[in-house]
Amino acid sequence: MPYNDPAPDDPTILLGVTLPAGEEAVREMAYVFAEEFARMGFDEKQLLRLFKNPFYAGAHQAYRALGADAIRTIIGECVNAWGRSTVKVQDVQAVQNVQDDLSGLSL
Amino acid sequence: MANVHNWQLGREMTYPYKAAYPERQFAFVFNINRCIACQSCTMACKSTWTFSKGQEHMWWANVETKPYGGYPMFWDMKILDLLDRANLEGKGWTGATSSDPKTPYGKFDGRTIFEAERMLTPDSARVLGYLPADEEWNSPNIYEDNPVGQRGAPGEFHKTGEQLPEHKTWFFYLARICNHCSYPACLAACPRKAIYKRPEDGIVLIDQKECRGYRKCVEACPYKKSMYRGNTRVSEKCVACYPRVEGKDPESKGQPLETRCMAACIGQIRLQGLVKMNRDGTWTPDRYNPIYYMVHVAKVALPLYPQFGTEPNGYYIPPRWVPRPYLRQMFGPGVDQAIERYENPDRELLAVLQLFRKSNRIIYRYEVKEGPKVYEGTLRGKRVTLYNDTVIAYGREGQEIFRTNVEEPLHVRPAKHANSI
Repeated sequence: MPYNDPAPDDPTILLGVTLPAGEEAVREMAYVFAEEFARMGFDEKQLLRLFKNPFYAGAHQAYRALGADAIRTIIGECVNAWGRSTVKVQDVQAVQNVQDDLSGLSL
Repeated sequence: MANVHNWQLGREMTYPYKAAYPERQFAFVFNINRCIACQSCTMACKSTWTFSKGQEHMWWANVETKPYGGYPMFWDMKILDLLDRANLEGKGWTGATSSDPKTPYGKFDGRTIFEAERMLTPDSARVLGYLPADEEWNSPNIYEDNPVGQRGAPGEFHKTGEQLPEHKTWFFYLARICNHCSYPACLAACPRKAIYKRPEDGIVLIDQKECRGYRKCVEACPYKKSMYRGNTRVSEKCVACYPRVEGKDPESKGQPLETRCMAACIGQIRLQGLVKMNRDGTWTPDRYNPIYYMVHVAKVALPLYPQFGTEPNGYYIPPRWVPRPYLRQMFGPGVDQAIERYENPDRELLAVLQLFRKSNRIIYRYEVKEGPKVYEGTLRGKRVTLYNDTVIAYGREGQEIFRTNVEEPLHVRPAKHANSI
């Protein structure tokens, strides 16, 4: 963080950049949130909870700007398209093999 | 001054040396849409190359938060301002994006940092640039998205932060290393000819025996990726982990490895390769090299600030939520097409995006094997069909490195090792 507040007349300091586009930019962000979290395994309920949580400021801003119905539609689309994630338990054996491979080297 | 063709600008430009191109070129694609600024790349580089006394301020790999952050502070704003002053009659792009590999983004009509004679001081200078002050190197994360409490109450956060005034801001994380440019500004500016570009892989290095620490390279590099070391009095820069790229890391058993910053990327935003070069400086068509595919076929990856004129070999998939004028300034006129393609990927692009970070071996070729249809419906208001294709990556000798699916599983630790870190 900066040690002091920037001088207000310093031309190289950006003091806040507003979104030049309105609803469309917010909708774009909402899709990004929904798609990325859906691909990580979030279901519709978990995604909606994320959008409703005011501490997830970006997602919540989209929730308030677009409304609950629009967010539900976005979530539904993204979960339908990307929400088929499966979980695979990763055994540690593969890592052990690499270590065995390196054991003969003078590192 | 010689005339060279800069395909990213779609025109000839002047450069202090005659054109000479490597057999292959070190190049990489960063997908900014996925970067979470965890700084794993930054620390992988730091712990490998710049952990010694005198290198404290050096971050050959860094991730900065745009539009506020920058390392060194305001590097891009300052060089863009210099370029603006060198182009008082205006600068811009004409023509349209095209399939011609010599003019893929149209033509840049302004002056580059090599063509700004009237701005150069002293007259003997070859490149437009500036030398950052010491304090500009000191805070690589300044103005980033750190949480901040009330002034005078260190370590305490607002208890009702969600009720504070809300600013409609946007930001994204820009991961950067040396771009190992085709027309390096550092090389052009060095009065000792201590900087060279390797003919086998295009990696740009500073000969530590020849360097006398004049810092002309630090001044000239528009990306500020050449850095001065006070205790040895010479300059240093990213070496592209060349022993790994050469296949000399014992782990690889002779196969070329990607750099440390690439291999450490947990966000899976990075893919690095070696692209074949033509004698005229364009890339040799190599349809199934993933870097070639993303830059010249799918056109989803774009150079960083191409208007500088150095023909950087780092390419970025632009962040799709950021205002377009800002992105066009940063990545040139191909932005709209790149984002359109990334938002609506075809079957092949979806598969190629799965190649990111499945292995630390350099991928020379990929192959897509068609899989079953898994979804047909709407996404973002458009009809889409998704397939669970398999993508296979091949190494230098044509051997298979790995194969993965479009719908890859989430890998988790077994329950007994859940807290083993």
